[in-house]
Amino acid sequence: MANHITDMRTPLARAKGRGGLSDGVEHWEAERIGAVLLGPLSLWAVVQILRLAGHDRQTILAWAAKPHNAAPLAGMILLAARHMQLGLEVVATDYSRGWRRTAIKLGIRFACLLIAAYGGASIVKILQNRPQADSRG
Amino acid sequence: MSLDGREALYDGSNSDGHFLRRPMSPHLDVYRFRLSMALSILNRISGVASAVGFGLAVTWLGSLAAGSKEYGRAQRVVNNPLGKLALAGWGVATVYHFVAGIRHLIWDDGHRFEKHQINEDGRITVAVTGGLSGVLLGAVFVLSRCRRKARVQG
Repeated sequence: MANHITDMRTPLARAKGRGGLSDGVEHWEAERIGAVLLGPLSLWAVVQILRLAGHDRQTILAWAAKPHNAAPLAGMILLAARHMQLGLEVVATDYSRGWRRTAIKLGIRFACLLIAAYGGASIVKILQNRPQADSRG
Repeated sequence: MSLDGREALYDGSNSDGHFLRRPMSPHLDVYRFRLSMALSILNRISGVASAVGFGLAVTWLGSLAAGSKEYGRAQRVVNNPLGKLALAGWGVATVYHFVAGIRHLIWDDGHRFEKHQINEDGRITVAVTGGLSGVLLGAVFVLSRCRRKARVQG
């Protein structure tokens, strides 16, 4: 191949004005913010798992039907789904390219959205079916 | 010059306009094994593993909400030896990802980057992960066994 210069501009001039590679620091930052928020929620989850391990379905349902348990559970599911979407996207970006990358990223988004929605819907169902004695007023 | 796309990336020119071959960046296999290498890639692997486990956990929550038949089916999967192994793996992966995540936040703040600090923290990470996941998994399995036994007898 002939070594001739086809583009007289310097590499800096070529890079200038094109903006960032994809986005700025938003993706990275969102991943960290999610991680920091998931920290205390994970510790809460560990305590709850130790409290509930080995109990029957009714006990666990009664636990999940209490708003002060359902709320952090829902929050954790949403945050975890978002955090795993961001993390898996980084992995996909590193190891794939072209249409394959687009397809994998779409799959990740869809799967994480589905997990968050399914978790949320399950909690709503548990709250709806909670024993009626609890729901006076 | 080669037609290989990757080879083409080695072609560069200096500020005089002279062509030169850029140095090849060192690859993984030229390095002696270090703990930090393994811990670095393990953070990524454990992240993916906890994501998979999390998907399964939400599925379990769905079966809890669905009904006693569905819940019984999910519990059979969880109590299966393979299910227990997967649960333990998920636990270890998540604990490691948690500890390694704290390390990453410390790095993001610009600390603990010195070579001896990285080696030191790496060993601590392994010990903390092993201890913490051992205690937690042991507690979960013992508690669930005791409570289930009490339920059957009572």
